[in-house]
Amino acid sequence: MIAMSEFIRLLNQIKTHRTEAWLTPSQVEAMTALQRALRIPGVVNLLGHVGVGKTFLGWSIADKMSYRYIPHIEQINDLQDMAIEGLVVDNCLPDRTAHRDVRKQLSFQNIRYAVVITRRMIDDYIPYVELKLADQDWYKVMENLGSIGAFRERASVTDLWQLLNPHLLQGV
Amino acid sequence: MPSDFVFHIRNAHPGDMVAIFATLDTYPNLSTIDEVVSYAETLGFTIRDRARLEALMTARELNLVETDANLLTTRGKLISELEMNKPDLFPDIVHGYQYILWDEKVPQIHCFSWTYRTICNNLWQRGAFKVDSQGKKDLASEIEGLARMRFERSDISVSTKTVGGTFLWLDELFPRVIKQSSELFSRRTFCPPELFILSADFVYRLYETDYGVNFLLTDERRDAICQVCLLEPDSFDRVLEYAVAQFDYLEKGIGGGWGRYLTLYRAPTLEDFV
Repeated sequence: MIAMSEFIRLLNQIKTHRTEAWLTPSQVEAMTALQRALRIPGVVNLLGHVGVGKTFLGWSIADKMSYRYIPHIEQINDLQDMAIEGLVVDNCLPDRTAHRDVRKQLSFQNIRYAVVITRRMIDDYIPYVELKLADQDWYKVMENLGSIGAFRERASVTDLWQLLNPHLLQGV
Repeated sequence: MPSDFVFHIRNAHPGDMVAIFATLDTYPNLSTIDEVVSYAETLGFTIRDRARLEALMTARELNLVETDANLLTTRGKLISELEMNKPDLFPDIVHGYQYILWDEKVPQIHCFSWTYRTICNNLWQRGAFKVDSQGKKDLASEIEGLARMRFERSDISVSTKTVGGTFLWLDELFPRVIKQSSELFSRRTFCPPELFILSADFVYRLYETDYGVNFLLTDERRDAICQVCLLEPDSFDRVLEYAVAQFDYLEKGIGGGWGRYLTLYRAPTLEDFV
């Protein structure tokens, strides 16, 4: 069993060691689509089920495009008075009202490029990129984890969070 | 040139129009509808009307896209920026443009705007209206009758599809005028001050009033502004307060034996709203 502190340590290891080469084939495809959509100012919805690698892709797109990543929209207040090229906002809600509120905050902060990450498609008129988890992605993730000494087996896990923290399988 | 006496309102989906703006901004001068659709999808947009992309034709009629090329006009670029910064306001402004486009002095062109305006006025006069399929059918038949009478032409036809083209935009207005759960239209108690000032400008022109001249607010004139905004007359003063606070070229007053008046010093522009 993996303790919570160990799980957090693993997450930190991933954050420290990750490179663009860690992206799974599906994430590479989604990254290309995001870059294409972000050629013009606007908001793009990155969506996908829980544990398909959205957050990891969010970090990567932030690195690649020199954007800032925030895990929740409330943290946009911490960015006041900062010149931000673009923003990746994780854990957003998909309903239109919530999305329009995010847009207002982006506009207020004068942020012209943003990726908004949700589990379901945002109910509004914005472009989207969907991330799904394919078989070949699992192998890539396990290979990445192995390279930092975290050996995992797919066994009965159904998403990447469960792979990182098997506690989740037991509802902990 | 737009065709004469075309009363049909295209089914220009607001989402498709947003996608067109983004696509033409990124890939100017695409030659065919298929290309616009395909490039829009490449950017990640979902296009509802892939075959006809009627939103492109409507954007052209509203001078948002060039007449003879798939290029955004200056106004199109501004409204695209507006959509990005104030997505709630975008449908209201396009609604306003569709409403005010038709000009009595050249009645044969942009007749779809006459239809749009007449549908809005009709709904406003009713105050509340059930917009289910029977309601739309009744509305289509009534508007068709009014059009035939107004233009003295028996060949005018207004279908429920035309009425539907109006509701694609009315459905999107914020604050709402259509309660989606009950399919009920009702006037709203607030509207964006941007739409209000656009309406005030429209009514100024309607009454051939010069900018800077005090415009007496009779009930009829107040209602003309409320009809564009689909606003309750009781809420007029509240929205006027907001508009006066927001735009320094709009004033209101009472005096000089005039009664209530407003003064608009110039035409509003999209730059004021972005």
